[in-house]
Amino acid sequence: MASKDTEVIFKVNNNMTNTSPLIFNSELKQVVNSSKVLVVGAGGIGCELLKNLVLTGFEDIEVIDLDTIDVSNLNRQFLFQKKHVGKSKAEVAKQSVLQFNPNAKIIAHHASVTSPDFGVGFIQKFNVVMNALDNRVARNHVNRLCLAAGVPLIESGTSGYSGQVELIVKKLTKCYECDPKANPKTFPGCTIRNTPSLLIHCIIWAKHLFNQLFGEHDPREEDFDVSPDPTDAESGGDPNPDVRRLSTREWAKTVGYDPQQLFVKLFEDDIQYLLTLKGLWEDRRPPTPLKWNEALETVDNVLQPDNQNMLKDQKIWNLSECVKMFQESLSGLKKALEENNNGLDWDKDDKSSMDFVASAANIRAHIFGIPVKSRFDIKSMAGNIIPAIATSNAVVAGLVVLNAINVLRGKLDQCESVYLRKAPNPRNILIVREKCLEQPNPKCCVCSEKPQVTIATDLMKMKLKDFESLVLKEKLNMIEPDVQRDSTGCVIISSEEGETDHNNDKTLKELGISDGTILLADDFVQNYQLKIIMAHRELGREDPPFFMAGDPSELKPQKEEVKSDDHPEKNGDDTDEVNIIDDDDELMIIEEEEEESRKRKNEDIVPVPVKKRRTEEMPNNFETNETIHI
Amino acid sequence: MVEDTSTNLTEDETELYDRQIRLWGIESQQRLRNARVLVIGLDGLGAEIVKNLVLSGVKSVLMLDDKESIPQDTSSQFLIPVDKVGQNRAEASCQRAQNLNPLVSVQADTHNVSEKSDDFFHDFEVVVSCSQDLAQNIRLDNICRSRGIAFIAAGVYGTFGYIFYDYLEHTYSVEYSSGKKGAEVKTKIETTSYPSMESVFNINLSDPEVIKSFIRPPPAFFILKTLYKFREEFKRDPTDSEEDFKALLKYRDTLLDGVDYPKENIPDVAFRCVAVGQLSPCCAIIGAVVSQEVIKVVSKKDEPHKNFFFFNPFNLSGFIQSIVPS
Repeated sequence: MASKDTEVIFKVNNNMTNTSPLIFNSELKQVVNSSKVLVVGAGGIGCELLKNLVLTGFEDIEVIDLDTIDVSNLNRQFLFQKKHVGKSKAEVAKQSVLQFNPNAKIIAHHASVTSPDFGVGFIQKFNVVMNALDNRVARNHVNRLCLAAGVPLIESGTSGYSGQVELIVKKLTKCYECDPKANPKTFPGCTIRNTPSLLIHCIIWAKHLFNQLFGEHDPREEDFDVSPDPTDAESGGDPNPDVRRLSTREWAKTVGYDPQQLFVKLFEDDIQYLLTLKGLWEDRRPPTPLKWNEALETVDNVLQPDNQNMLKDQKIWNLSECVKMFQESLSGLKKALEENNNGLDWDKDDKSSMDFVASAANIRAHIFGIPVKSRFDIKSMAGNIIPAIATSNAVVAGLVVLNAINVLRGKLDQCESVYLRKAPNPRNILIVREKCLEQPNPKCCVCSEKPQVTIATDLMKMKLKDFESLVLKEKLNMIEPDVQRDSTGCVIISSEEGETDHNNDKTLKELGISDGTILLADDFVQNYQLKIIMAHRELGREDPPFFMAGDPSELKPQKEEVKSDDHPEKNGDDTDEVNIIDDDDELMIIEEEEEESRKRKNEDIVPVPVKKRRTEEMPNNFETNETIHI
Repeated sequence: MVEDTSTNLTEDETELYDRQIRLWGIESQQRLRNARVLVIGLDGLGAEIVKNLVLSGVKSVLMLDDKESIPQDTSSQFLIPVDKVGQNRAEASCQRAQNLNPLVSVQADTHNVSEKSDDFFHDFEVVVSCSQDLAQNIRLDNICRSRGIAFIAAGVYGTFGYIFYDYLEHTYSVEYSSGKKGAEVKTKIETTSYPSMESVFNINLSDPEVIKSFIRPPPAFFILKTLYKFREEFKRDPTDSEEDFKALLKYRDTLLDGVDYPKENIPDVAFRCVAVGQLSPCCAIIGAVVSQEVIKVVSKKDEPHKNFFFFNPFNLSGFIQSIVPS
């Protein structure tokens, strides 16, 4: 039904040449009142959206959110109060907005939007879908559902003072996945385990250590290994290849998580061992192993930030304080583990968990001569915290509803993308609207007529189960893929449980996949079919486990280019690596780049917040980005 | 204006305000915590501003309004419970505003703003005036100017919105760098000054030199003047009736009489857009821009807007305009 409506809208739209401003008269109120809308996410933007919708007269609303309420939400997610902490966001948001308009019919789903319960058929019930999400996985998924259902989607996000809103309609506009997204920064496993050079490497190591010691058993546990890796191509060979090393986790249990013994293993013995891998230190500063007693007494001078009013957490610990914190947090975590047999989830808002990561990361940084930071700063980095304020969410949610009204009155051409800027652009525009809708990318691997990608990997080494988890699920965002070989029709991955498990540990080569083989992948829930052209490539030490490109020719050239950070899209995600979201640097939009750069030339000094880059990325992982685990 | 007493934030405060402290820093949060704000006019726009400021953690918000709420308020004024329609707007908003943040002092005053003596305003760092008429706004601006209080007047009419700012003299810090990657970020102190509302609205539009500066941006200032004129004559805001529409067109034509400004820049349809009451999403947008500027002026950080912000009903975008007497 809804998809028919969309077709009608299309026709009306194509005949429209003149724009007509939005006049919220009684006819339009009627249209609004009789439409059915879906809000995905009840966080910062979601709360504002739901308020605006019921006040504007929308009375048939469904909302999906899997999250529960946390104290740090309350500075902006104004439908929630302290007494609601721990409860379902969708449910509490529904109850709160019903007080604004008791006539509204609101259905709250405390669930993940990627659940098969919300398939294409579910989406087709709505006249328009509004995303208020904080992560790329869910955004990609809803994008595909809406494209398949033929329902207009309004995508939005904020980060700090900035935000944006855009309409997504199949064949008319870009879809969420038309532009390659700058990938989260990733680091090779050997950097984390053997040769950290930045504090972030140590933080990731400390989080892996947490998972090793306390986390639920993870099938990919070996990927979170924190011990030295003698197989590192640069190690120069393991001097004692026959020594069988006990896993960190088993060993920690046998010593009862004793802080001193853990310290000696992690910060003295393992570091001593690393020093024996001589090849690693030919061009690097070698690490300095620490002794427990000495470290406990090292009150080194730490350069404190120049701020009289600093918070307790902003004081930087000296080495002695780090060791004491390491000790204290271990006893807290040991106790927590005794109460929870399934293991602990790392949570930046849990005191012991955060203390543990901050202290362990700083001790490791000390060993490798890396500048340390405060618990406050480490929390931002470890938790991927993206600053969020009420006002940016309010502006963006207001713009979403205005665009939704324009969609409902058939004025799709008046739903150009809008950006909220921290500071006005050179033409003094603060809330900037694009001049026209952006055309779809004909090579998009999601919304084009015949979507295809090329995957280059070492076919001799990559196992099928890794291909499924790393390539199909993590990178291509499929939920339950089926895969067959094009030439034979042979099913190599089935979404039916257990059907193709016997293939899991075979390499792609063993399954008959060679350079040039074509695979057909299909996700039933997303109604998404993709052709995958396989290419063979041998991979180096710093390489991710695979490369992906929409256009095969992009993969041909030199490794140099592909490895560069400037082409992040070509770097595959890797479980052995880690995802780090940069702060809000990804987003900024200058409407008139030319004018901006011309201006810049005449000025030595430009204000910090102005960023040149045109946006390549929706502000994904925006708002309370607390779902990405590194 | 705001005295910088550096009382330290409590653990509860740092936890609650964590995500914004990470954006604007502790010093700004401490300044906010000492700021007392007066919000006059508890319509849909006023409600949005109160919500944002209470959430941000200012010291206190006083809501001043002598009007009773009417059923139309429920389409944008979400602080008034449905069963309190008919009661005083400020008082009826109190409970929900307080629920947003127990750390902020939230109070209501049911008097008419014109009954308030000049001294009344002395207790505030910022005064925000929503949907008042021009004469009242000019009076408030003059009082605030004489006492060094930041003054903001704002209004939402359908899809049109305006904000007027007068900070008299405002000194703020701004971060800058050479623009090169990895360059050191430094802080500098800037000062900017604002003209009075009276002087801005007395600008002689018949002067061809003056009017030149109005040609490029959208005709928002003219729409605002027309709406103020309507308010002056009718003592109320326009509805979507044909009589009101005709009156608005008449005021526009009178305004443009003898002014060298193309009438087609202010098409009739603009006055259909504005005469539909307050639209909730527009209250949310304008209210958020006002609130962020209050936060900015209180925290003395970053460059504030020039003296006007307008929300453009033709393409639903928002721009800043400097309108100053020569």
